[in-house]
This record gives sequence, structure tokens and C-alpha cells, in this order.
Amino acid sequence: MNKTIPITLIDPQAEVKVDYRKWLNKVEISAIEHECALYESRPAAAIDALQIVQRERGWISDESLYAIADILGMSAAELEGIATFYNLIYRQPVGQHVIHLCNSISCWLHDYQSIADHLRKTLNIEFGQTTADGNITLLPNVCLGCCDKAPALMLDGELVESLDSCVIDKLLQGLKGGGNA
Amino acid sequence: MHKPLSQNLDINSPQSLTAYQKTGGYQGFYNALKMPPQNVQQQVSDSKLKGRGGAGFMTGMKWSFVPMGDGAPQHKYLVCNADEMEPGTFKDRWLMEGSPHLLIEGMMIAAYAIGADVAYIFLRGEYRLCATRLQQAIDEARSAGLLGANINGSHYSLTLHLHTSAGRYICGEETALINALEGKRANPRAKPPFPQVVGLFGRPTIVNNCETLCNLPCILKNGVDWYQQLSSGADTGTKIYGISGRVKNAGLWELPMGTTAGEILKLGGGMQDGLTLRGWLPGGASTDFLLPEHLDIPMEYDAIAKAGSRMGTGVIIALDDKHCPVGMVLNLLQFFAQESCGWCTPCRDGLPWAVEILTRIENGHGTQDDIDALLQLCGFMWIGKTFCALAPGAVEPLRSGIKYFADDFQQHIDHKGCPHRH
Amino acid sequence: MAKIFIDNQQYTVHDGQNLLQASLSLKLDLPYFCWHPAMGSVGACRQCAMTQYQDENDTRGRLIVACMTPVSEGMRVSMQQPAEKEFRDQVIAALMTHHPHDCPVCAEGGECHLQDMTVMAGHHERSYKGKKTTFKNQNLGPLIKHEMNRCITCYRCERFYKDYAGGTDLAAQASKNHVYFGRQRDGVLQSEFAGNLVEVCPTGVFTDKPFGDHYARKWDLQTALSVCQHCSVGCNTSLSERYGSVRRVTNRFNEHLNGYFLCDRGRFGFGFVDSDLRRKHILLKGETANWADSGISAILTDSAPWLGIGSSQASLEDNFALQQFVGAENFSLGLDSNQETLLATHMNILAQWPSASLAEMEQADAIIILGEDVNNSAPRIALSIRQALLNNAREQAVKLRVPGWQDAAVRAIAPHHPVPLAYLGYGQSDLSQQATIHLLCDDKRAAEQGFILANLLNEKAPKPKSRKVDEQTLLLVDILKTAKRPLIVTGWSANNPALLAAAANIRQALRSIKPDQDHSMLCIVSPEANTLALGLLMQQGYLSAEQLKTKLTVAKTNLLVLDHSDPQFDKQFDELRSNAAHIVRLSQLGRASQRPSQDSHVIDEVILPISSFSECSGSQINYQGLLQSYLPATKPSGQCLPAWQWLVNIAKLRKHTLGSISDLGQLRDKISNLYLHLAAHWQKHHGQLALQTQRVSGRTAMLANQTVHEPKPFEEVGAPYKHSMEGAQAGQDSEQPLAYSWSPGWNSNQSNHKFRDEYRGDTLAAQGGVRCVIAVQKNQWFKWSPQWSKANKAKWQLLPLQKVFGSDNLSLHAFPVAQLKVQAQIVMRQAQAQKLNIAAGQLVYCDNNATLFHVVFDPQVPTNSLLIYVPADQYFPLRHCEQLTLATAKQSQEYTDKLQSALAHQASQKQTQLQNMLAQDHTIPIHFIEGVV
Repeated sequence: MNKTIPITLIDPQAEVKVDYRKWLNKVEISAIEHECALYESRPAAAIDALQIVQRERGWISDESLYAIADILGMSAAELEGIATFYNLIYRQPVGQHVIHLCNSISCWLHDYQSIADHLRKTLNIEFGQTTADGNITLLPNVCLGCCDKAPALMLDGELVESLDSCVIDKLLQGLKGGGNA
Repeated sequence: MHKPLSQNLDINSPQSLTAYQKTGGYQGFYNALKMPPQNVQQQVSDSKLKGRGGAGFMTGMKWSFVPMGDGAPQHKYLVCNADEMEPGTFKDRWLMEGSPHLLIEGMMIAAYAIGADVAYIFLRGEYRLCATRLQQAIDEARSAGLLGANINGSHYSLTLHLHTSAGRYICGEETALINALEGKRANPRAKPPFPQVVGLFGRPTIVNNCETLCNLPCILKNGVDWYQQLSSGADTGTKIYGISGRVKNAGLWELPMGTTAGEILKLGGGMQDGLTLRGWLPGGASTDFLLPEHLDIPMEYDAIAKAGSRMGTGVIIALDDKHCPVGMVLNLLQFFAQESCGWCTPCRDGLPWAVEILTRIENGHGTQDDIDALLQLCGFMWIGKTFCALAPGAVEPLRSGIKYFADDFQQHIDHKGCPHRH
Repeated sequence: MAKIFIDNQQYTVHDGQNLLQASLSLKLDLPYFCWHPAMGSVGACRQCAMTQYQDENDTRGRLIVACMTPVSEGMRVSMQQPAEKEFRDQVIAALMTHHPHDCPVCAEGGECHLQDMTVMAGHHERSYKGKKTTFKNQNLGPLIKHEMNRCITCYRCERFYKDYAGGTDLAAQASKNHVYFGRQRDGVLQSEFAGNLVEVCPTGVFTDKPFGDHYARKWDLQTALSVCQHCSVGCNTSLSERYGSVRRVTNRFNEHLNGYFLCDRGRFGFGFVDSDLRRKHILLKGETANWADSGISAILTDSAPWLGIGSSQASLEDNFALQQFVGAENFSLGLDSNQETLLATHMNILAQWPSASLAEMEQADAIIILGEDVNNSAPRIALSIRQALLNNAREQAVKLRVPGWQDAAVRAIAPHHPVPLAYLGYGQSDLSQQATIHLLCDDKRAAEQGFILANLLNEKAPKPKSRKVDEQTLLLVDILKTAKRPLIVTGWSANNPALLAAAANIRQALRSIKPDQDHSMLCIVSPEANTLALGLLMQQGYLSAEQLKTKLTVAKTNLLVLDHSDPQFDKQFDELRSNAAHIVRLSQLGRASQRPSQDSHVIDEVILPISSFSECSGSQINYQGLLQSYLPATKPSGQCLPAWQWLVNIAKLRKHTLGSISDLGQLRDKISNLYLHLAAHWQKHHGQLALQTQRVSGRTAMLANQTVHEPKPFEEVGAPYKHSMEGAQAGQDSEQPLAYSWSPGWNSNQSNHKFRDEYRGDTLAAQGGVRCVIAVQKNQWFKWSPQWSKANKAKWQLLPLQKVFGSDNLSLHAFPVAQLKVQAQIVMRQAQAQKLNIAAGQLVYCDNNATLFHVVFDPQVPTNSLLIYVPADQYFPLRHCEQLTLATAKQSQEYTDKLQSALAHQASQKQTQLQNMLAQDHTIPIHFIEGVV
């Protein structure tokens, strides 16, 4: 969560500003403006804005954070506090595909553990890591609401239910070489 | 048997606006529009509808605290709590995916009843299919003039927005939800002031659970008497019950309020072959364990409370005899510890403490005083001690798990390991 | 009042407060963390748990948190029953699960609220068997040290920094038991109130970094009642010393002024007393000398007439002594003509209208700021005005039956119940951004609109020459008419008396509207800590700046000068000195740019080194005309004496009556004889206040390497304090003014609640104290002076800007402030820059002046104007500019090189000073303690 920044980079005018017009594209800007209009204040669209930019770029980099803070008229520190609060906002780069495996009780009562072990072994990473080829990031998630078809996972935002090792293998096969789910 | 919520529910292909209207959809809303908002509130109060999010509070009474009339604040909000993240609970997803217009109509009725001019659906971000279908339904309703200015030629105007969240179970707590909707960190708020007076953006706000709102169309369409006759017990209407865990057919069913857990288990096909039921949580992770001997108790708010648990969401989690109760309690507490927002001390620092102890017990490194320590933590995190109900919810399975599965806990300590792992 | 029962004991407490406030006011030891007396309740930590019972028969009760529970008539609660005690113990145990065993190496130890509450709970054994979470710390700049491992997640830092003070770069991040309080990335904390984090944090997460470099435990510190020297508010401080060097400034609670908070300039600016530039020796023509030297006495007894120049940086006693010595008609104020007009106007206004205290300003329900950037000229006032912006929300909350101390609820309501804040002026600041009515204008237009506003409120008010009424002014008419406690703020920053006159007229107009219910308030921010002392003395008559110049040229004259550390003064003085016969300078700091021998030109014959405010007793008069006094934390060094003592000694030589003064008490008696209403201030007899704690250590050991004798502690004759542990101790007597805050079991600044009622109801107690001028309502209007209408004919007028770190000269000699000093800036709108082909960050010259300015863009620049900020240690006289010239690459490089080397030099100076101080700790010069004159 905390990056160590060498002291030599400290700068007394330490507010980094990114002009959102120079960083965000037209799609992002118009989508964020649309969200802003739905609330009484612009900063209220913070979570929506983070999700919009994340959808475009996969994750929220520092520059994206500053740009979003700029378009909404809020401080980077406050926006960082919001971004780091919510599970589904990534403040680190992720792979082409993100798998969220549910680890809550109904999935646990089914084969969560063996699915988790299978994924870790097959992808050769731990939860929180990305495969060496940058293709897949493996993350946990709390109950996905698929309890009647447990175990389940979320792949790039879509729910995949009734998992077993075959389903997993087929799924991963489809993701190889930049394929889409 | 009447199934007003699910009779036209189709999980694969939900009804379009036209189809929904053809089967009587939006009739309830039209009925509501014809009467003063206070009358709608009265009807809902008379129906004795209780909140379906887990708290079981009388919906009509909740609404009654919203200031109404000429002196009331100009802008009010109606929010649907569709942040279903209670482990083991998946009923709202079923309703939204299978019948999005039902929710929208329910929201419109509620919004009208409290005089709200703007409504939001606060939908958990993982329910992407729900988002697509709800947005489609909202767009249909808007195009048809059912949303927007002067609906159906009346003086009533309502805009409805869909907000998808970015995770965190605590957003299901209504004041934390309000903070999340304001784009902030989802810490809960102190009450008073209640959201009905100072809510979203400081304005009067009602937050209702998705299933609760889905009950409104049939109440307004068919009337209070009809609604009350749907059940025979203490609570009115139908309930979306369900069951998950190692049962043959995990799923959801709309049944009269007061159906027993045993009947639900039967609909679920009973336990899988070779497994027996050891215990069950009546309605999500934050409810107390009950035993097979409690299966006959009607799934009603008071009856389950009298048995020492909570009906909660009414979607049962079944623990079989091949899964370790200590492991289950550990999994549940890990969930709560992770989902703590970090605002108040007992939840933030007490839950990870409980996880630390449970982990050691499960891994065979527990000692006798650990049980006492866990029970002390249960007292530490109980209702009134914390800022919101998250930690007390975590205490429920912990405390009841220690009580009903004391032997399993003891075995872990005595044999320095989990007997379920061979 | 309400009758309540705590542990079956009946108490009568004020209505409207919460149970924690009530318990603390009753001096009960109820622990807490997240509640703060200035920031209200949020109910997060749960530490203040009590049990509430339904009636006498209810033996079980239910647990409540006292900070969120309003007191009610007949309520029954307990604090000492097992249920709540056990729960409070559990809270401590939970907070301590990850807390490191840092106490021995933690700067907070000995004044740590967490330590106190942990001990109070009786927690002594760790039952958590897991590992501790750790965090990476951030470098937050030179003022604040960050140690997140110690955090107990009480949220006080974020609530203070963001909500209370309006800072934007500190926030809570992540969640659950990994909550992290910090910036988005490493960097200097931008808020000028960041230093308060050190006192607001109940553990050692945020500590005073400069203090940490040369550290001493609180119980070892000798702490004096002091008053801040760095702006006209005069915040009360505690100045702490050990081994002969001052170590730190902390807040000294004053309900009416600073309350619980200081600005960073005041907290970190005191180090000028240790500057290399401090005069320590008597100098005669540049060479060190002794008082007894014949050369010195020859000059001091010279027969030519002596003219005196006073200083707003010297104490009231110093200036008074000089005025007595040379005579009022020969006493110049050390100000230029314009400043003399401002001072006379300010005194005139004070004679009619009492000036609002900060606590009063916090109660305003409508505010108009005329042409003054309060955030930078008197930051602590801006902080108070910021709190007033929630007053309408508090009122609304109470209507909704939500108490005003329920902080989160008030802030939730605030957006729909704003307090009108009108900002007529230029530049960006927290207050300009909070303004609900904003007029971007220069000082002249702000003053004009002020006059027009007064006239619209009361047609008898004189109109200015220009009659154009801005719509913002029209909006203000109704707002001010309906407001119950409107506040008018202005100041000297723009050097324009028209603003003061406008403010006074508005004040007068408001009074005339509601003569029986007039709760309007006026605040005029004067430039320095003791400017108004000169105002008091000028009432005896004075020598104007013009007259001084003339007198020096017509006859042989000697100058006796209270030195003023300020480049403008240096410039003016240099012009005067060539005409003087002899000069005697009573000086605290020399000039940086010159070597000592150059500094004392042959005409500058005698320099007498004077004690700093940390080394002697003195008094000063703040923006309200309030008289405040400070005590010394340490002994003067070298040959330093208080300036008034030098003057008395000179008077003795010359057989002047001033020479009969034998101690400060007598001097103050003399002041009281002339100004009868001031007598009461010095007459308060509190007995002797011990400045050392009962636990101060090493008294006999610290000199053991030099002598076995124990010298007598330094003593001022008849002084109400002792540099020892003898005397009244903090914590013993609530009537005694406290040098530092302490009470048994409450070692931190939280002990303050032992000495006051936490809640006095809605009415603010009267400020008390002695004002230098008694306000008597005279129904006088200020007329618009024609010279105020002078139009700007140059291309641009240069409007002055101030910066917290940079616009006060004395604090720039303290390393922490010097490190953060903002370099000269010229501020313009982007459109202006584009026309001139100038980019932000470039360096430019104004006309033929040699000062280089950094170009900064800001939209808040009025037409035909540029905003100019120059640090207080640089001289820049221009008020207009015709041309801006870009620095060449070579010039820019030279500038940057010079700046870098200056910073490097500063850094090495700081290191040297630190090493010297650490060395001095080992070999404390004996005369520090013995106090030989």
C-alpha cells in the first residue's frame, strides 16, 4: 500500500497537478461529466470517475488519480483515501485479465480451497500477484452472490459460476494469448 | 400459492416494459399516483410490510419520519439498497436480474409516498448483469414517460439513477451507503440525526432494501387485505427464501412468510448424499447458528429471534458434517474483519484479534484460554459497544458457534489440529 | 442546568452538553481519545463508555459512549461499574494490539495521552498473541515527523487538518485496521496549521521534528508563560527550555485568543533567538567593548540632543523607557508616514469600538473581509473565522434536536445553511475560496465599496468619490441587516488607511440600525506583535518620520535606536544615519548581509546587545489593544540585557530620572502612573509560579563536570515566577495562570480540562484583561480622504501579498521557517502572461529593480494589477511597474545557484547550530545559571 519514495524527490511545492484535459481522453471526460450531473456536487462522482478511468486503462495510476482529482475539483489526498477504501479500485497495475475468486462461506463450503489451490498452481502466482506474462491478475473477493452455484469467480467483471478444475482450465485456456473471456 | 414477486420473473429473459405492463405491471404505481402520498404511506403501514434487508423494521414506520407537507424540505431522496454482499445471500440479484421493472415500480411507489424527486439504485459493482438489465429498464421507463417530469400527466416528477459501487460490504449499512453515494469513504454515520431528516447530501432520505421495494407494487395493486392473506403467521406477505451450502439443489423460492427452514431445506433437496446437517445460519453470515432441532421454527423475525438467532435475509447457509465448524467460523470472521471500515475500535481491532485466535485454533495452536478470549471479544463487540451493526453481526456466528460446537473447538485445542483434515 | 446522577452521586451540570464534557468539567477521570474540546464528538474510539440506567431500579443498564450522549434532566449513569470499566479496558487492549514498545524512544513519552489513558485503565499485560502491523512513514517536511506504527486510528489528525483547518493534503487512506493517515505522497504538509497535529495526535504519530532534533522530556523542561512574537494576535504560548537553550513552543490555552491551536509560524519561528546574528556583545565602532570603557561613556554622555526611534519588535517597557528618556516630542515610532496614519487611525477606531476576540469572531453569522488576506497576515484569526462558517448549520442542527457538538451531523447540514462570507480583495486563500460573495478588486475599490456599503446601511455615512456600486455590495446590505452577529475584518496589509476607515463606518452603520441589540464585531489586523504599543505611546505626542528627518539635518543630533529587524527599516535608517552625530543601537539581531565590522560604520558608534523575548520579562499589545505579558524561559546570553535596562543604565550615567528605576516592577509602576487603566494588568498577584516541574531531573548533576557548587537560579527582582520547582505548580490551583498544562494522571496537554469548565452554555465569558484604549462610542464617521482616490497611472499597480512563511522577519531567522521560506513571487493571470510571452515558473525583473521574481499564475488578480510577494528579509520599494523583463538564462542560472548555495549554507548552519547546542548541553556555561548582570 505504501510506496517508498526517496527523499531526494521531495519538493516544497509538493502538490502534483495534472491537467485532466491532457491526461483523460474524450470518452472518459464525457462519461465523468455525465456522472457529475447526477449528483449535487462534483466530488460525489469520485467513485464513478475512478471506475470509468479504470475501465479504460485497467487500473488507476498516480497520474490518473491526479487527473480525476483535477476534473472533480478535489484534492489528491482525499481522492486517494477514497480509491484505497474500495476493493474494486486498483491502485497498482493489473494484468490483461483480472480474476476475483470468491472466498466467502458458501463457496468455502463447496470447493473454494481446491479451486484456489488449482489457480495458484496453474498460474504460478499467489493472490494479489500477476502472471509473469502480464496476462492474469489473481485476487480474492467477498461473496459474489452466486451461492447456489458455488464456487464462483468474477472474470473481468463477469460472473462465472459452478466452478471445477475443468471449468477453470477451459477458462484459462480462453485467456491465453490475449484472448477475451 | 401466490408469488407476486416472482410469478413473472425470468432469469434468462426478464420482461420488457410492455410485457411487464401486460401482466399488470405499474398498475400499483398508477394506483398510488391517484391518492395523496400520505395514503400510500398508510397503506404500506397497514400492510405491516417489514424491511427485507435483514433488520425487519416496519417499512411504513420508517417512512413516517420523513417530513411531509408544505413546510417540508424541497428535495428528498429515495435510495434502493442493492448492495447485497451478505455472504450466502443472493436474493436481490435474482429479483433484479429476473424482474428489473418490479424494482423500478417499487421504487417509484416509495419515492412518491415520501415525496422524493430523485431516486438512486445503489448496486454493488459485481452485479454487472443486474446493472445492464436495470439500466435498460430505466431507459425504457423514461422513454415511456414513466420517469421524468409530470409522470402520467400528474404533478409528480421523478428522476432515477443507477449507481454501481466499487465494493465493500459496509456499504450495505444505510448511512455508510449514503456516504458512498456522496463519493466518500463509506464510514457509517451516527444516528440521530436519522437519514429521514438529514440524509444524502443533508436532505431527507429513505434507504430501502431491494426486496422490500419489490413488495410495494403488489400491495398497491391488490390492497392490504390481499397482501396480509399471503401468509398465516406473524409476518405478512411473501419472502424470497433460499438455501446454499452442501444441499442437493441450492436456490431461491418465493414462499409465504413463516415457512419453516425444514420446508426450505426440503425444497433444496435435502443435504447431499453422505452428508448430514450439523447447523444452519438462518439468513446470511451475520446470524446465529441454529441446529437441526430448530428446523421447525417458522422463518419469521420474532420466532427466529426467540430461538436465539436472527432471520436476517432469510437465505439459509447449511453446515454439513464434513466441514469443520471452526473453519466455518474462521471463514466468516475473516470476512467481517476484512470488511470492517476501520472507524470504531471494537470492530476494527477486535475482529482481527478474533481471527488471530481462530486461525491458531484451526491450525492446532490454540490454547484453553483462547476460548475465553474469544468469548470476551464477543462481549466487547456486541450491540451498543460499536458504531454500527457489522461487528455485532460477526459476533453472532462466533458466539453461537462456540456454544453449539464447543466439542469441535475443544478437539482442536486438545488434539492440536483440525479433526476434519486427514 | 440539569440534575444528573453519576455512580449514584447527584450533580448539577449545564444543559446542552454531552456527558463526557460534563464528567470532565466535574473533574472526573473519564478516558477518551477521539473527542476534542474544539472539534466536538464523533463517537469513534468508544473509550469514554459509561452505563446508562432507565431509573433507580434498573441495575443492568446499557452501555453508552459519553461523548455522544446529551445530558438530560434526571439521567442516571455510572462510570465505575464493572461493565463499563471492563469495556474501557478492552478498548485500550484493542488499541494496544499493534502499538509498538516505543515509549523510551518516542518523543511523546511523558506527555502522551495514550500513555495516560492506558495507565488509567490499568492495562499492563498483553494478551494479544499475534504480530503487529507496521507501516512505512512519509517525509512530511521539516516541521512534522511521521511514525505511523504508533497510530490508534482516532481520526483526530484528519478531522483537525481537513475539517477544522481546511487542509487538503492529509487524509485517511485504506481501511479496517490498516487505516493510514498521510499525504498522497511524501512532501511538505501544506497547511499553515500542520504543527497542531503534534498536539492533536494523542500518541507519537505526529511529533515536532525540530524539537526532536534537540530533545528533552516534558518533565525536564523549564517552561515559561510566553506570547507569540510573529503577528498581531499575540497567541499565548508555552516556551520551554533545557540546559540554557529554548527547545520548543507549545500552545498555552487562552479561551479568547488562540484556544487550542497555533499557526506554524508561531510554533516554529522562535528559533531566531538562537540565530548566529544575535548580538551578544557590546560593540564600539565595530569592536567588542565593555560598559565601563571610556569610549562608551563618552558617547553616552554626549551633550547634543538625543532623538529616539522606537520599534514594534521591542516590548512596551522598552519603548516606554526610551520615550521617557528622550521625551515624547523626541520619540519617533520607527514607522513611515503612511504607517503613522494607519496607526493613528487604528487607535482612533479602537477608541470607539472594542475589537473582537477570536472566540467572539468564531460566533459570527455573517462576515465581510475588506482587502485583507487574513490567512497569511494573521493565520490564527483566519482559522477562527473558518469555524464561524458552521454557525448556521449548528443553529439548524439544534432545531432538528441534534446537538451542535455532534460534529459530523453539523457538517452534513452545513452545505444548505452556509454563513455568508464576503471577500472583497485579491489573491487565493482558504477564506477567499470559502467566500459566498466574492469581489475581485484592489484595496482602493474594496475601501470604496466599504464606504458605499456603510452609506447604504445608513445614509449619514459619507460616500466615497467613486459612486459605482458593485452587486456584491448590494447583496451585503440585506445580509448585514439581518445578521445577528456580523463581523467586519480588515487590516494593514495593503497599507491603505481607507480600508480601516471603511470598516469603522460599516461598524458605525450597523450600530445605528440596531442600537439596542448591536452584536456587530470589528477586527483590524495590525502588522506586528507589538505595533499597537507604539499606538499607546503616540498618544503622548510623537516625532513623526518627516520631522525626524528634518531635525537630523538642522542641528547636531544623536540617535538612540531600538533596532527593528526589517529591510525597509534598514533602508530608512541608512538614509538617516549619515546625518546623525552619534548613534546608539539597542539591537537584537545584526544584518545578515554585512560582516560585523562593516555593520558598525564609524557613525554607528555603540551597539548594545538586548535580550530576546525568551530571556526577559516584557509586555506587548495585540490587535485588540489587549495588554499581555511574557516571562523568560531562560537567561540572557553574553552581555545581553533587556533594552529598558540599558536605557535605565544610560539614564543613570546621564543623571536622568529614568535612572532611578531599580527593577521592572518600578518601571511598570511608572507606566501605570501615566496610563492608570493599565495598572490592573500588573497588579494581579498570584504568588510565585514555578516554571519547572516537580520531576525535573539532573539539577545537581548537570554542572557536576564543572563545579560541585549549586549556583542560585536566575531571579528577576519581584518577579512572579521562579526558574526552579519552587512555587505554585501547574495542576494545583485553577486560578493560577499555567505555564504548562499538567495534572496528576494527565501528563499531556489534555490535562487542560482540569482547569476549566468544558461547557459554559451558549454565552461566551467576557474576555477580561486590560485594553490600552477604552472604547467609547462617539458616533463619528470617517470621511473619504481625496488622496485615497489617487488613480494608478502606471501600467500595473503592484498589490502586496503575504505568505505565512516569509512575511514575518523574525521567524525567517529560525531554521524551520527559513527552510520553508517562499521566494519572491509575482502573480498574474494566465492571459496577462500570455500577452507578455511569460510562462509560469520563469524569473522576471520589475522595471530597473534587481529583485528577481518567480512568475505564478492565478486568476484572482484584479485588472491593471500584479500581485507581489517579497520575503520580509528583502527590500522592494516599488508600488508600480511599467515593464517586466525576463531573466536571461545566465541570470536565471546565477539566481538558482545563489539560492542553492544559500540553502546549502543554511543547512550546514543548522547542523552547526545543532552540534553547538548539543555540545553546550554537556558544558552548560555557568553564568547561564548564575545570572550575572
